[in-house]
Amino acid sequence: MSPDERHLELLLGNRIFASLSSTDAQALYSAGSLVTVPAGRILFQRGDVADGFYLVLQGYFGVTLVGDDGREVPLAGVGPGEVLGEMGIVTIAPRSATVTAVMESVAWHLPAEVFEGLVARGDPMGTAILRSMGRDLCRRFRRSVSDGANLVARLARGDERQIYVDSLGWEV
Amino acid sequence: MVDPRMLDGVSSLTVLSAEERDALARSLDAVRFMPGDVLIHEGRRSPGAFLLLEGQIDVHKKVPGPDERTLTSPIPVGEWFGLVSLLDGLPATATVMAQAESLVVAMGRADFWKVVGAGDAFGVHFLRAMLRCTAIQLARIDYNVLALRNQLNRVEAGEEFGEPISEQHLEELSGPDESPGEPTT
Repeated sequence: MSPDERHLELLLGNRIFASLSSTDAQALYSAGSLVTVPAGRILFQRGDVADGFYLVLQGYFGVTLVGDDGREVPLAGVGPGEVLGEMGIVTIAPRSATVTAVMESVAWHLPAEVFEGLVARGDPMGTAILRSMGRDLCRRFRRSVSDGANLVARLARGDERQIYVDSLGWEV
Repeated sequence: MVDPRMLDGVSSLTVLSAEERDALARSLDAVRFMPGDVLIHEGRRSPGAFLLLEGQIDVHKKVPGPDERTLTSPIPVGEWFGLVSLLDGLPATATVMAQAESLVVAMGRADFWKVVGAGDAFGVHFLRAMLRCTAIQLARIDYNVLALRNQLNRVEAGEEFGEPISEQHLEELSGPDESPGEPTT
């Protein structure tokens, strides 16, 4: 199997692209480019313009965010077959988290303008990708709502904790 | 059908052309809700997509535990809700209830999928706008979850309880509205 065939397999193995035909997946893959990121190098950081999204092909990336207390909080690790930065494409907003290569890594990058072109034309491939992103978004939304409710249940006991939860705009 | 001018100033719809907003207005109905009216029930599928134009409508989420507490959060005016259950077809994660007399424009489940499934540019643009709203709401929830997790870690480590999050920091994290440029995941 050639590297491109392996990459296409990873592309089609991801939920976001799984509904594409192999011809569409090939066309989409060709519209992107490969990026090699040395260990320790930042792929993108919070506040950067979302210039596209990435599919990890080799290696491993760490996603971090600085919390309200200034501490860096690890959010997730992302490995081969997983996508990075897709929400910035949906929301047309700067990056909210920083992504760093944990080891030398390779990712496929789809530029935002390619995706925007698909959406602007009403291309069925754009629709298929958006619908998959929507399903993924819903899964994440449900998980976060559940996590939030569970954390409040554990935290919101006593006046001080109550005040903290209320300060987030979530009145208990 | 609603007057398309009702959609003027709705930031989530600025990505649509004037013709697309007119087409959307033809699929929407204006509905007035009174205090106590329930629009969406937690555990049941959302009947459609809703956009709050005036008034006050709150989200009520049951908190797990024996004391049956509820987490309440107001929906900002100009924001869509009911989207997640509409998009994935699963039961709603929370109850949505009017706290004051409120004006809402609503799009039923069938109309939503008729627009989105039409396979034309309008359908794609509208879907994208709705996903953007959902992603922005998710980003707000994720920041709260992160803040809560940090506090819980402090408490469990025996550290002093942190200061309540400041309004300024919250705004910095979640952004004041849905304008492009707001940080998101």
